[in-house]
Amino acid sequence: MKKSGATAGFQAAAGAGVIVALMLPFSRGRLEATLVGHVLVQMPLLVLAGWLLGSALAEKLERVMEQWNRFGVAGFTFAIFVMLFWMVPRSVDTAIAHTGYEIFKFAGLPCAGAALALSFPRTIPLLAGALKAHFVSMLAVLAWLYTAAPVRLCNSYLASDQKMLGAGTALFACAFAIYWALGPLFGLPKPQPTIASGAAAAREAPGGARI
Amino acid sequence: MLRTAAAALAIAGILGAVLWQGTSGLRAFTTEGLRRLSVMEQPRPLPNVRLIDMQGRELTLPDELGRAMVVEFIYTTCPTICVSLGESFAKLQDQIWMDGLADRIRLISISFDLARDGPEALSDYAQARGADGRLWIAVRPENDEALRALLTTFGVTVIPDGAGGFVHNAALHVVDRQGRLIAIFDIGEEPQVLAALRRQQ
Amino acid sequence: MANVSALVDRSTAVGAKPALTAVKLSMGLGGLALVLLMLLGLCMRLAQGGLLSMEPELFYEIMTAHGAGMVGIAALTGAGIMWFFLARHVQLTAAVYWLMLCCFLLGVALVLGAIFVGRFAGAWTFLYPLPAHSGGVWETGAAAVFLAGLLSIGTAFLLFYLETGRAIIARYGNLSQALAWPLLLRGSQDDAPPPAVVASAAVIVFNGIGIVVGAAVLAISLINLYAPSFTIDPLLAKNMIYFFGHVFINATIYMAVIAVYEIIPEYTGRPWKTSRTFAAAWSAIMLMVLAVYPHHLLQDTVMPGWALAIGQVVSYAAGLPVIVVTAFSLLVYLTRSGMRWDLASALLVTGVFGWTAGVMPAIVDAVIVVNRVMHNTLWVPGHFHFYLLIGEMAMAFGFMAWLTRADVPEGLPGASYWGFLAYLIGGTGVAVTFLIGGAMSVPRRWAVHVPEWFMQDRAAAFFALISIIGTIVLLGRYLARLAAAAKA
Ligand code: HEM
Ligand SMILES: [Cu+2]
Repeated sequence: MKKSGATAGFQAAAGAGVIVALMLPFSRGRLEATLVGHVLVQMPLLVLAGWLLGSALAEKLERVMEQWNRFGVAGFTFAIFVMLFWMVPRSVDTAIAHTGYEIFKFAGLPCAGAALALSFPRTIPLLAGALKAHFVSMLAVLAWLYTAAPVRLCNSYLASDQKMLGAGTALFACAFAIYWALGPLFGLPKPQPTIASGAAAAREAPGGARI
Repeated sequence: MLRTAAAALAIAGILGAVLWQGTSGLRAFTTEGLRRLSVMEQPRPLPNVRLIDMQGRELTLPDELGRAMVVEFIYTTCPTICVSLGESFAKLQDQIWMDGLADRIRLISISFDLARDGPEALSDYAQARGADGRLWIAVRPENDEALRALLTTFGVTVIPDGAGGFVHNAALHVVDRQGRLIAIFDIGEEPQVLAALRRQQ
Repeated sequence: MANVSALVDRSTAVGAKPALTAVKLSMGLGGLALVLLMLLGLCMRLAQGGLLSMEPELFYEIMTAHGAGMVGIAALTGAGIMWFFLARHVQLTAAVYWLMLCCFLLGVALVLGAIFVGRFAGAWTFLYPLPAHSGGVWETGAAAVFLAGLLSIGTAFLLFYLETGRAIIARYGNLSQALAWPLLLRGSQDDAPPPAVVASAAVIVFNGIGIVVGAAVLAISLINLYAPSFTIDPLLAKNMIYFFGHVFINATIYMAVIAVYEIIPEYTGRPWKTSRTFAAAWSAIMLMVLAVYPHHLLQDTVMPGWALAIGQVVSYAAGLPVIVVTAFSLLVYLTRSGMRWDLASALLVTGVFGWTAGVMPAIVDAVIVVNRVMHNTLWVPGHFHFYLLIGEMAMAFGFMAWLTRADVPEGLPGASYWGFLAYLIGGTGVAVTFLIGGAMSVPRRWAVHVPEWFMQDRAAAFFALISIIGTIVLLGRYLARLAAAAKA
């Protein structure tokens, strides 16, 4: 699974490029003008950019991760907390009003993405699956929260925006659910080991079948 | 694995604290919630700004000291939430008259639409809602600066809705006799507002 | 006989039986809990029949415990069966089963605490907005603990399906291979999966979806408890809850039936192979289980017509494919080959036919005109007691009997025979008396019955007692033999 230096370089450039593009006043203004743009476009893109950067750094950080991020536990913890923070409507509001929050957002979300990129490849399928399932459930719950809220949750945005965010989040939930279901359902069959060799392979694979 | 566990715990601790801070100890998840919480915990003195009422007279908020107040922020052409606020105020007005507290309480509608809401518009607005000036008055800040000072203190955010109107957080703001904002309630929570006012007497 | 030895060889060839102890423990715990909850069922019937005085509050607590507990038992025993036989074909990680069991038991503890300490009595279906509106009977905290308990149980099964799914994919490449879709579409498949794998894959898909939806609606209900101004659209909530509940309870029997596919061949000497029809039936079921729940909502006239129509049509057809394929193949076995009878085979065959019979009332109920009248009568408990008691639990006891079988054929002697008979007759009686109650329009979930209904209540209590005696005999045999084996 050695990655060529060129791929890593390309990933790093793409990640950094996305972050810079999102920081430009023009795109910041545009995206932060609506809730959907802010929460469903800008924030996921920041995470994605972080993911690219993290993937690019994966090989360099291999030793550190092996020691400090076994099975991706630390990285997932980091990403979960950062995402939880940005799910709070008040944080979204404050990012617009206070530069400090905005900087924290532009730094924290890419870090969360990088943490995910550094953690998923080293984790066990059980943890990865559980996280994905909970993520989809959480998105559904968020979609409901934004749709059912009796009041505006963000003072800086219109109520109609909030409904759109709810609908958009529901779409996100469906999209992730389908995307993650396609692999297990139709993914390319791996070379089929016999039971005995499969067992051996499972024992050898890092983070394979064993916990 | 030990180091990973330590790292995870440290991360959870630090970011957990950040999250705790960012939600005031899981008590305020929205800006609105934060505003209400912080007012309750720490009453805010109102700024000393000049207002113009529906008859074109000037007044300042300290002029009203000695009376408890309920304040709402509106703009007179609002077709939606301000209408509900107005109904809420009308209810409060009736009850306050019945309680015989009309001379010790003020209901104030403050417009934030400086471009359109002059004394005339305010007067129409007041008439349509039964604000006769004895208990309930409609006012506007003298200028932009005064408006900004008010909105900041009260924590009201006003944004253009793109169709000539505004979106704003609507609430019933209770001010005590010393001129401090002490509590914020929702439309529909008139009984709580009245209880807070009675405690002031 | 060559095939049998091949089968046996294969089962030993995989060698390690991951978490065999845990599976045995699950079955034993399930059996013990079953006896207790059947006693609670007996109490409910006695109370309804005017033979036992009980405050309605207590009745509903008992009903909540009985419902939630029974669903849990059915799921746990089904999971034990699926795990045990799947381990013959794929490489499973024992630790995950133990983890699942821990999460499950934690959930059970929370649920029991919520009911008997917190006095929660909002039924296992936790239908919105009931948990939040107790009329002072229980505190918000009790409802929250109950929901948290269900969430923990849901997580337990999520872990279970993730691990079984992972193992299947590791062996067969992907789930569509494991569902035998190549066989279904092209008529042939190298390395076609055995029935146990096909069934497991189907259950993993539909119950996985069910659990994700369930977790979401549980979280939503929890938030609503503490922030009631965030209202839930009651119709959406009902859709989600019944989707989850229906899929989850259906999954139990689709897991348990794996025991039939894997054990019966040992008695007939002919392996149970995955045929094209078999694959088609399971794929059809997988889709239909997901679409059939609207028959719980036929009384909700606000539901869009098309949804109800789908619910109705699918209800006719749902359940049928697998039942037909299973029952039909079983019949062929029974008539063509000399079936060896003992407690295990008798219970497994009973399970299949009990399941078949139990589905019939559901099909009747799914007719909209009937449903408008019947769905809130005892007809519905009649249907599910039939297929859970004579279907799912019979298969579970069949599996337990097989697990503890002797080395030599032992037939159906003495106590086993009478225990089996008592279970069968008593259980059928419990279900049929419910159906009679339904036909008499006795409403479901009423703590107090009028004297006109006492006859069927009391007959039910009588049959319940018999079925409990039978259960105790079957369970006693299982536990005694496990103990003896442990000593040996
Ligand atoms: C001795 C055997 C049993 C007896 C006497 C019994 C009795 C009862 C009674 C009286 C009710 C309430 C019916 C009503 O008025 O609505 C009930 C509900 C229920 N029972 Fe049983 N039962 C027995 C066995 C089982 C078994 C083996 C299962 C499943 C494995 C089961 C699952 C349920 C469920 C899911 C409910 C629904 C609770 C609700 O409506 O919320 N029961 N049972
Ligand atoms: Cu307005």
